[in-house]
Amino acid sequence: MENVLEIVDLKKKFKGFELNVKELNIPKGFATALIGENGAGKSTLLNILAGIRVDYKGHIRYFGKYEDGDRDKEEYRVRENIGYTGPGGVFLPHWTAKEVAEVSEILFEGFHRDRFEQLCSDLAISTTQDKSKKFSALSDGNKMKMVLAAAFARDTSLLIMDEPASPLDPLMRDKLCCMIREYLAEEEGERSVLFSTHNISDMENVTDYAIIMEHGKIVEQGFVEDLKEKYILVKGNAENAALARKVLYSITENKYGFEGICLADRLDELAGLNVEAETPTLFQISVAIMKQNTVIR
Amino acid sequence: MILLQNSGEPIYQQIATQLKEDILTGKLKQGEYLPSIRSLAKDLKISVITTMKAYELLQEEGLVSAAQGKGFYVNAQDSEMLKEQHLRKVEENLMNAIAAAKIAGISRKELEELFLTLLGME
Amino acid sequence: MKMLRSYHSFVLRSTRCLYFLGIPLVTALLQLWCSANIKAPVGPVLIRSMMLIALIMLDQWAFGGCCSKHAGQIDYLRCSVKGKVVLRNALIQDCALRALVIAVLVGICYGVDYCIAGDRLFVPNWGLEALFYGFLLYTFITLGVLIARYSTMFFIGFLTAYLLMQIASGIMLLVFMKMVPVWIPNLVLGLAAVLVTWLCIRNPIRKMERGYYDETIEG
Repeated sequence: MENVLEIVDLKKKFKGFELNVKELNIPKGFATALIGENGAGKSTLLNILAGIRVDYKGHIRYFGKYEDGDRDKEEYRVRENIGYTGPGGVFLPHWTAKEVAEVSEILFEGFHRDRFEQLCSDLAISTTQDKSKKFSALSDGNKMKMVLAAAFARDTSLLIMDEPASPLDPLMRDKLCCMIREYLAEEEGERSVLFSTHNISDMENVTDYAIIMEHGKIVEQGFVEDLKEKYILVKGNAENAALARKVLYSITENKYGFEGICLADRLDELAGLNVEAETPTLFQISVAIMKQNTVIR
Repeated sequence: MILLQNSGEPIYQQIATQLKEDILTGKLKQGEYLPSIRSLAKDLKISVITTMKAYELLQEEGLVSAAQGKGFYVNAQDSEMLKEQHLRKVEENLMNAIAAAKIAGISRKELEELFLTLLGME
Repeated sequence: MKMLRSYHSFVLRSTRCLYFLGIPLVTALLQLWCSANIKAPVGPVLIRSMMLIALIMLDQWAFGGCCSKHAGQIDYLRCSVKGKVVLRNALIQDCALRALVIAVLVGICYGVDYCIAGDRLFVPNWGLEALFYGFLLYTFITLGVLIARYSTMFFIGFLTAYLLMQIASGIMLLVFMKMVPVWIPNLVLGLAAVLVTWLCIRNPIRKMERGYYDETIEG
């Protein structure tokens, strides 16, 4: 399995928060989701990987051959091959779609203006009204659509997206998942996508590899299908709740019964009890793991 | 292909099962290439790792082989294996029928009679 | 060639129209009125004061707020290797065009006045005087732009423009009333122009570079 990003000993310290990633490999050719609470360090990590924040300690390897220092060397085309979308202000506030296209053509070689126009039209931001609106005057959803259009209109091998689905409506979220799948399908195995989200249920159908973060550390990672075999969703009646509580990773109880995630290895400890086991969704696994590590009551 | 989200059977298994059926019934011919894992994922609107796992499952069962850089193609299926596959399926279904009969309290004699009647109807 | 278009991305067509067509037109008209109705050529002082304010304000639509606190957030340029170069090109072009426009405006003032009121402005040393006006406008406008870029509020830009206009008018009157020989301000302003141009280009770029760093604690 090749990796598109290899991260070793990444550290960044803020007031009251520290990002500390000992080792992380993002597999090539897949869509990886970075899941975590607000403040878990997702944006910090993505900013560093995208090269827009360079104050950190540690090493990053891009595409299996370039070190972080190579990012700014034009001939290696590292930045040229990475598409970044972020929340909020990526573009200058007074830019309209036209300026975005103009600047993108100058900044990036692989930017296709016709593709950008097509995408704007597909995403419904091409009614003359919206297109000539200043970026700062657009709604959050339309802002994100424009940023996405600019990123997908380029020839890249890696997309790094910080909360792309957050400002989008459900229809648009579905469309985004389709866009990601198409992006991956076009160059079989050569392209990768890394995105962060806190609504994993919307992106679950496109996620291949999941990384769960808490307090700046990675607490779980793996291919989704492997995680779904590592963790089991257990449901049972209220009388067994006390026993189950000891085995389950996290548990929700009410007077009718309980439900919780447990490691598949430990399922035997619940043998004999009247419980049902199911494959959990990535959402359920994430919540269980995050609950373990969170400070929220 | 029909995939059910809530059936309890993992999606990759459902895909593998349905593709297996296509292969065993000859719908997918020997040497034919299956769609690439990413284009299948795109069409079915699922993640790539799911299709990959489905193909790996088929590979483990010897139904397909991987060609470096090209994808997965259907292996030659000999009639011996075909028969065995189908035999296993028959056995599985009969076990299900017996279990259902037990729950319903149907006697062994009644079950046998039912089976013979149904056979006669074919 | 592509790089010349960097300027276009920052300064929209509407702003450019105002800048290169609107303002010269208004200047010409105002000068026309002044020359026709005001005997002493004090009109130019008024006109130039207004131009000063107008041009400083206009920059708000182009690079406005690019040195302010919020400017750190704009990441698109940082995504590309060419980001800094694009910004630098745009800033350089901005200063160069500003100098050009000012020269044109001064030319318009002299030209229109000549057409209406004859030779009165073409006193001996009129060249140095014209140069003085040019330097004065350029330096003060560039200074105003430099300061105004630190804020995203139009109000601050206007306040800066107004204050600078007062100072500039004072200097213009001094020269106009021959209280100061024109070569002194020319020298000072000439040097100041160079300094202010350098700062004007360097500061937004430094701001962009600093945006690569969050406020981290060494640890």
